Amino acid sequence: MEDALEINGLAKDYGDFCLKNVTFSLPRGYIMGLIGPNGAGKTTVIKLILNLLRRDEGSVNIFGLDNLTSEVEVKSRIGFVHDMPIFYEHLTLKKLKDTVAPFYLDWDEMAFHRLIEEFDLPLGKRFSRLSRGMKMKFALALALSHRADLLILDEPTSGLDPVFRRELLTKLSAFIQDERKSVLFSTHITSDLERIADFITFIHNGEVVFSSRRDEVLEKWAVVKGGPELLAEENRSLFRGIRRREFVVQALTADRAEARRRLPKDILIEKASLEDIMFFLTRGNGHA
Amino acid sequence: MYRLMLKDLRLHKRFVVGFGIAYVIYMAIFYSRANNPGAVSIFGAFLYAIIPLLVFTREDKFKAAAFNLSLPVTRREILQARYVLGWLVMLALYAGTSLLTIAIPGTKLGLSAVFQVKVVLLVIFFMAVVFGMLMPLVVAFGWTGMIVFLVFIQVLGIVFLFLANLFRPAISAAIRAIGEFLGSAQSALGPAGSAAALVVALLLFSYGSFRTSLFLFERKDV
Repeated sequence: MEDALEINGLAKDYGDFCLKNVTFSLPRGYIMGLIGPNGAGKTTVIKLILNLLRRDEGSVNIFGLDNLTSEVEVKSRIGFVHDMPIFYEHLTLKKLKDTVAPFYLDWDEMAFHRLIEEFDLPLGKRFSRLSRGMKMKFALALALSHRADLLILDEPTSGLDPVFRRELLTKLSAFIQDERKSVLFSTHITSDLERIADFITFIHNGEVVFSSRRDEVLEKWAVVKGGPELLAEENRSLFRGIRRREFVVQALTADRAEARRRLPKDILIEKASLEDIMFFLTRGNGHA
Repeated sequence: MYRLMLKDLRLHKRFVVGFGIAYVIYMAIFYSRANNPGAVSIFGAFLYAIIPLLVFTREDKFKAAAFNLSLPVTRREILQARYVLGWLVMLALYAGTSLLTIAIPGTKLGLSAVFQVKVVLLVIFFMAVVFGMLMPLVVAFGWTGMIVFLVFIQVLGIVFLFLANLFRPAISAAIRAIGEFLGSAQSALGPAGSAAALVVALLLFSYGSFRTSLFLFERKDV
């Protein structure tokens, strides 16, 4: 089956920031988390997928269609939620829905009302009067009401309370249950992804550091803890990031099995969380 | 295109209707007291073109460009809808103003004066020029682009007045020469030919404006 999303060699130069050779793919029926620190290039990737930015190089294929030449068809099959859901603030939710719905041939009015009820959203209220969480819920209701095959969400959980974050994650898991729909979900709250993502793509300084299955990432990457002897020259090739304190050294490795084999038995090797990986790769000094 | 026009109308209905009605009444009163429909019409044409442009700059106010461009439409379609809607609004304002001008008691302008073919064509031509010049700026720079252009026009006017005082004979001669050229072209073409030439110029200018706007819009990062 074709991929829901396939990105090849995507590049965008802003002058002071550059997205370089971004390549990854998301198979149908899965959730991919796009992670990276603030300013890593996550939003740029999403904007390039939605053709809000002009790419310098590369290609973006959605369900096998180029996002530029088949723009309308591609966007009809995408549900989007931007990091700051910006709509015309002076309109009520009902009027906003009436504005958006005619653009989608597959608009499902019943599904929309079901979601509005489920999210407890007041249709008669102006968008500007909603809290950030409610704005996000409304954006999600719109995105889910036109039978989209691919949901693209840019930092949907930042600034939301834990209850709604959990609700949202449940919703996303339910969305992909038919194994045809997919989700691309950018965030820097990595715990959300550990719950639901099937694939993880990590971006740093405009480059993809890795793009793999979540289980594979969590299985392979590890945090190694020991004394200064860890920094011996022969060990350095194992590490992708190192953090030193006076008597303790912590290091990130992308090959747990190899580390276990090469390092002394008394060295502590723990599974790395996505947060650990992000931390070491972006802040870990003494990069090996 | 129809959906996009409807969207813009729905979003800015109050602004268009409120501003439009106030403007039509103001212009009609102004017209009804004028002796020279041609001069007043040109002034009016400038303002007719500004109103739809103000509507389009409201997208900046709501920072809704990313939202609009995420919908399943192309940038070309968005722009086509805006050009058509812009023209509809301009023509509606012009028609409203003209009809009200005739209806105002004691008006100096009758039906024949307001709807002279020459005046109507001139108004449409100036609307096309102002709208066509400003639209690419609005597309590329939004509200700021339009304001900068209007300030530039003001400054240009001041510079022109200053130069006119300095080089009065030369400028008068140049204006006379242009007038004579247009006059001789008009007599050579005849009334129907002149009207047709004006319409062709208008269409070409509008098409050029659309192509420029599209070029800028397709390269714009949101």
